[in-house]
Amino acid sequence: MHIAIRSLTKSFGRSLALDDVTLNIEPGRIVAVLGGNGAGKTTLLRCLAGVAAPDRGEVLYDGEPFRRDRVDLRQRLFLVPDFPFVYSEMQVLRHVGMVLRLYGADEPGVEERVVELLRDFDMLPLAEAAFGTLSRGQRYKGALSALLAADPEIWMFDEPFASGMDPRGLNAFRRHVSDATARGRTVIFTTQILELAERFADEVCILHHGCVHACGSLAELRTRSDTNTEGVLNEIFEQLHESQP
Amino acid sequence: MTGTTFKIDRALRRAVRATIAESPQLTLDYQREKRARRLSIWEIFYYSLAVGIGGPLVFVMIPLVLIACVEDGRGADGVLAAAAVVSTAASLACAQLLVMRLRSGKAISVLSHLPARDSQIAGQIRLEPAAWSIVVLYFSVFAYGYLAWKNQFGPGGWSLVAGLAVGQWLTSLATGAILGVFLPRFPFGMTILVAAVVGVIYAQAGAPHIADVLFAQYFVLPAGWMNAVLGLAFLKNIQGAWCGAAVGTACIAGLFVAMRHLALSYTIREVHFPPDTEATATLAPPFHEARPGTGIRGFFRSSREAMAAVDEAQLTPEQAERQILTGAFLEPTVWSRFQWQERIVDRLLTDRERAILELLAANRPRWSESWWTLAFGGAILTLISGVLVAPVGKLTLVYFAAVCGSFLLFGGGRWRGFRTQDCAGALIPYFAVLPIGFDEISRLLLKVGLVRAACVFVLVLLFAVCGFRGQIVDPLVAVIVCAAFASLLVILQGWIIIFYLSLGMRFPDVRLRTLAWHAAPIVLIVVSTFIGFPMLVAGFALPAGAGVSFAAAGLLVLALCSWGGWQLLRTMYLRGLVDLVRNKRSSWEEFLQRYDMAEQRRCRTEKLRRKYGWFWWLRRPYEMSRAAGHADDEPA
Repeated sequence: MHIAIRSLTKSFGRSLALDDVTLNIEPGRIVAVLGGNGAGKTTLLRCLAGVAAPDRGEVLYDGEPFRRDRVDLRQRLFLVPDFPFVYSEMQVLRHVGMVLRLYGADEPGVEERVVELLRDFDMLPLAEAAFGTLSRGQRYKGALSALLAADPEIWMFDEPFASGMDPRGLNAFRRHVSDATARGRTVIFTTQILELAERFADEVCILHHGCVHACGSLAELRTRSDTNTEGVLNEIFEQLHESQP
Repeated sequence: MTGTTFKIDRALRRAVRATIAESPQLTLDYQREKRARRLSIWEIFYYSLAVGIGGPLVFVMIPLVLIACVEDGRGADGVLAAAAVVSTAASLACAQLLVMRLRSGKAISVLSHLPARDSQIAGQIRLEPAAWSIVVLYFSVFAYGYLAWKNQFGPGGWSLVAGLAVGQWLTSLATGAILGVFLPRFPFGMTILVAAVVGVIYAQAGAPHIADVLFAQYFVLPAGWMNAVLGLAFLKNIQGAWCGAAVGTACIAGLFVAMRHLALSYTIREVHFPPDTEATATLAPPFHEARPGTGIRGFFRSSREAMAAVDEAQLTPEQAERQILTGAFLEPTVWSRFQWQERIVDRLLTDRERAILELLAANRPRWSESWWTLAFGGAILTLISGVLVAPVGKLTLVYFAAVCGSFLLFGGGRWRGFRTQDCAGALIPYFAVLPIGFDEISRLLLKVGLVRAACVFVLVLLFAVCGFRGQIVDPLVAVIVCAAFASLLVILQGWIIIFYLSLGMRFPDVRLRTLAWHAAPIVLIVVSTFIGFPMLVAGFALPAGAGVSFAAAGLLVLALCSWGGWQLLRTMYLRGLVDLVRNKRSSWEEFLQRYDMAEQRRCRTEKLRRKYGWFWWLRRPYEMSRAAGHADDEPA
């Protein structure tokens, strides 16, 4: 699904979180959203998911304007916050079932996919455990399994690499994301780990004080900043810091 | 400790400001952030209005009117008895708060990580209940001041009244502290509830032996000891009543003993951080409640650790795989035959609505359970009214049952999906991140509300007819009252939907451009509060003919306001004028969270009961020690 963000502006009181953000994201891409604390990364994801309503501008999915009441469009995307939304008393499997039904993805054959996901994330033995008894990383993996099983067209993650998942879980996550983009899914994630973004993402979008400072593939960014080595993102951030008035 | 904190805070502020002042860039950033936090002119106007008009109205006029009414009906003894009851209830509530805060809360989680002694932590924690106890001083000043004004006291009398008000406050504080420190397992909540029920019964005209009851407060309640000085010694010239002041002073001395005992005995052994609940401490006796023979609240709370052992039961991968492949997890919840209300609702829902219900109610609606609670409570009330206070009018009791019913109706089902969760520095409701529409939520809540209103109607009707049988009021009146009550519940569904949805919403800032959006709900609230509800109340109070017309008109006004409010929120939601992101929890949500914690304790107890049967609590010491890692304590 093609994503077009047009002049998106969002403020909280007198503080401007997003300032005239315009972006185009092609399907099948992995996009890393980078920026300092308070740059507007999470707000951008929230606007894309319909959680926050923009003051100005719009989001178009496949050319269709996105509004919060477009449940059909919302069923084609998901957002995993840094602390996933799960009930502590609910069992992992029950949560997976509920999410699949809400996404209308409870078609026959989904059971095998759920088994595969839970196995990949080492969650099979904990399938009947309540979320409240799990560690932070296990909770994240349980919630992630549910949404990955639903398999919508746009996947959005807020700081997935700081979610408490173990190395095996992170590897499984990377593998599923790669497979998903091969199937035409779009993956957008925020992170503060520049090396990881450089290695994992197809495109990078750097936000600074709510504005898009730089956006494009790594090759494009390297060309723009005349750097052919790795660490281009680090260099951009250093320049950004130094260029502050 | 507070003084030290304040000093450190002030020193830090000075240091930070000095650093900021050195750098122009930091100064600019600091000023920008400061501007972002500043209140808008409309907010200043709104708060000034609320404080200037609402404050005096609520905190001065209403207590004065109530005291005047009590004095008119029951005399000075009645006013003092009311003050004593309020003080006693406040003492119990403060004691309960003290015990709760000593066991769990944010203060424990923060302070236990700091290099502070347990006695210092206790000293910090006790400040909150002490601050709340100021309520007693407030009520005492009103009650005593009213009597002083009514009896035209001179300067000496006014000085005595001021001293007595302070004495009353300190006595109340001391009572709460003594109970909290020396009897931490005292059933405070239950006592307040019993006092409320008894109060309702005795507040009615014609209650038997009311004069004796009012007189007894001077001896029975600690808060009555100070009252005795004013009510008996000063107003009735009974010199022996000055002893009340001596007893009260002795009680106040007990406050210092209690505080010293608290400082010496309060020991935190471990702090747990259970998910979704506040941090809880394992304490040394007498504050640690997980010991045999601790009362019903202890059973509920202490089962937390024991449940961890029950929940941690793991499947083998093969078992889990077999289980998943059956596809049972994709099926909607099957309600048991005891959950009859859930089953009725289930029949009215589509498959998608069932999934939404599962999300919004966290799969634990507990409507039938609430209904049974109401049935049980109502039966006891009817029994009390029939056996103990036969001549007392029944209408108040029916209203009381109806009010309880409404509370259960609104609170009995845990709509957890509307609550917020902390997420990247903001609070977002659970339902926000999943694809659910406003209309879908409204439709579901309406269906549930209608079924529950019908069920409550049947119950209240039953009580009303039983209560009115053979009494001076026509049973038909009872039926009409109940029907009006049920209609009100249906009508208020719009407000209920607004209430739940707005728990996690952030509304637009007040600007001239968006002023219309803000004016509309204010108009609706004002119309419904000042026109609809008074008309409805007048309908109940007036004779049959005019009463029905007034009640019907009131219901119509409320229905229009309810629908208008819902429509307004819907428009704001769909047009993107509201965010599903908040910076701070609403006070309503904070209140509901307390209810949530109690509910969670109940769930854990129920799980234990399911595992071990009705005598699960016999195994509790073993479960506790197992959870603490002492498996060899298993009973034979």
